[in-house]
Amino acid sequence: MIRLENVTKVYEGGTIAANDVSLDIPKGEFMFLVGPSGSGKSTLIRLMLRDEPVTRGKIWVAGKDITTLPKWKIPYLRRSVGTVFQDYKLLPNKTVAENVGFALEVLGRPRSVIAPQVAQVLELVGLADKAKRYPRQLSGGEQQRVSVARAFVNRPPIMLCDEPTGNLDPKTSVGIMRLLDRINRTGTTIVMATHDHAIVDAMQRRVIALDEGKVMRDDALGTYEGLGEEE
Amino acid sequence: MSRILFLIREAFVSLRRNLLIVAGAILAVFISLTLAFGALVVNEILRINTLAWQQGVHVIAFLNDAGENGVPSNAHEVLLEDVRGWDEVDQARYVSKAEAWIEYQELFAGQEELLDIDPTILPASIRIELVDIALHNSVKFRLDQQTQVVRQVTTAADSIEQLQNLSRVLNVLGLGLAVALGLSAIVLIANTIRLAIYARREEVAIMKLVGASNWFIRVPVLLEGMIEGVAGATLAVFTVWLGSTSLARAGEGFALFRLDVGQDWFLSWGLLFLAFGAVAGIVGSLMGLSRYLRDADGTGPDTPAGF
Repeated sequence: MIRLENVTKVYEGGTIAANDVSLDIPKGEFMFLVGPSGSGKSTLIRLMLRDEPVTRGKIWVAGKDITTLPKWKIPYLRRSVGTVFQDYKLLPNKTVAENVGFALEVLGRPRSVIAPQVAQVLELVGLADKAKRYPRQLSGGEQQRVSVARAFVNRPPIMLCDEPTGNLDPKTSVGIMRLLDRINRTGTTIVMATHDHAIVDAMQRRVIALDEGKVMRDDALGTYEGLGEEE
Repeated sequence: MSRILFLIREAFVSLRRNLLIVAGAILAVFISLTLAFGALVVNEILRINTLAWQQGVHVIAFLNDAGENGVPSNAHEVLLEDVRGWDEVDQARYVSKAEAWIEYQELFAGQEELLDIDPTILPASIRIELVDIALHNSVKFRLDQQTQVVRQVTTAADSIEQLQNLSRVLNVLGLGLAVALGLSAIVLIANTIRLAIYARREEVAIMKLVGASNWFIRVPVLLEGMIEGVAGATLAVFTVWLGSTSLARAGEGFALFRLDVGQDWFLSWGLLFLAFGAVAGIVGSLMGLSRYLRDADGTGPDTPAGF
């Protein structure tokens, strides 16, 4: 589903955020990217989303080489990849339903399709009764569930999650992880960057450990163990 | 269709949400276009008046009295016929001594000391309008040859030529000013929209992440810009029209200078300005938005941020 081949990302000023990274992420996998702050987890997520261009190497997402993707095709890539971020990235002036529906509006879906699909996914994330609220009227956990709902509403084959539990308390984090696990069971490939030991250890899924942009470890049923203290 | 309705709705929601910024953009267009349109109106008033003055009498030949000092009694009629036959002359009108006295009385009505003259000293004259003002010298020369009947020749051509030159300069300045102010309207709109987009840059980035294309983000903003441009231009046209008609009304009794500009002129130029307002709004929005769309593409400054 996702393939990275000798991917290197060097920022202006010489900071190496990804150093010759090669990875294969098959369809339906739930994979953690772990490592301390500055290890390159978020950069890899952004490279997979073509939010940043690679310096060297190739990335294939759903069979397409996204490193050579023309600019005008980037939105099409992003429509097939759901994204969840630590800071939720919700549109502040849209209601919960409008935020979730926005992902379908950009696809040009008619309102008759959007309304039931949004209702269904809000039911899934347990926010059906808060459809008309604005993000500022929700708790952090609820906002993150809206973000997950938006990422999943058009049933993308891939979801990229960058520290989705980073701003949440442990109990709320468990709720979000249960939700992501449930989505993964529908066949959606999930790549999640985190430095939350407890979650990684509890989930027992594939773990890629990064440090200074290099892959240090790739365990099929890994734990966070073996890495230094998080920063 | 659903997408178009969504984008239109987005534009109106955004207009409602950012009332202060919208008011700023409309005000920017209004001020620039009022000045530009005002400059055009002044230009038009000058053009109308120059034209009116040019259509007036260009050459006057004052005549010696017929039947006296060897001037034949029919000399005036003969000269008038002769002048009317000249190629340079468009029209020629004879003003008798009696008519000259009436004209004199009208001109100096109420000024008794000036009216206390012998009316017979006023000469008859031939008032000539030329085909082309540039021909005044030739006509003056030909009249000057008629020494027996022509007492004196005066011409307004020099003044009119100066007025024409002045009008030409004012035309260029007026149009130049209008163009400069029109361009400044675009820049002002661009800056205002950029301000609005700056406040919404996070939103633009989120839209991009969700898969919105540049045009999907652009269209509501362009619509916003267009609506702001048209609103500002409408206010500008209305204000200038109101100012101009009030000025014309106030100057109705002022015979030497016309201050009224035709309604047809206002209609055609007003519509043009509305179209310009719309275009300025769209171009300004495009300029204001371009930078943020570039950044959101991941092609902006390549700086690490929380990698």
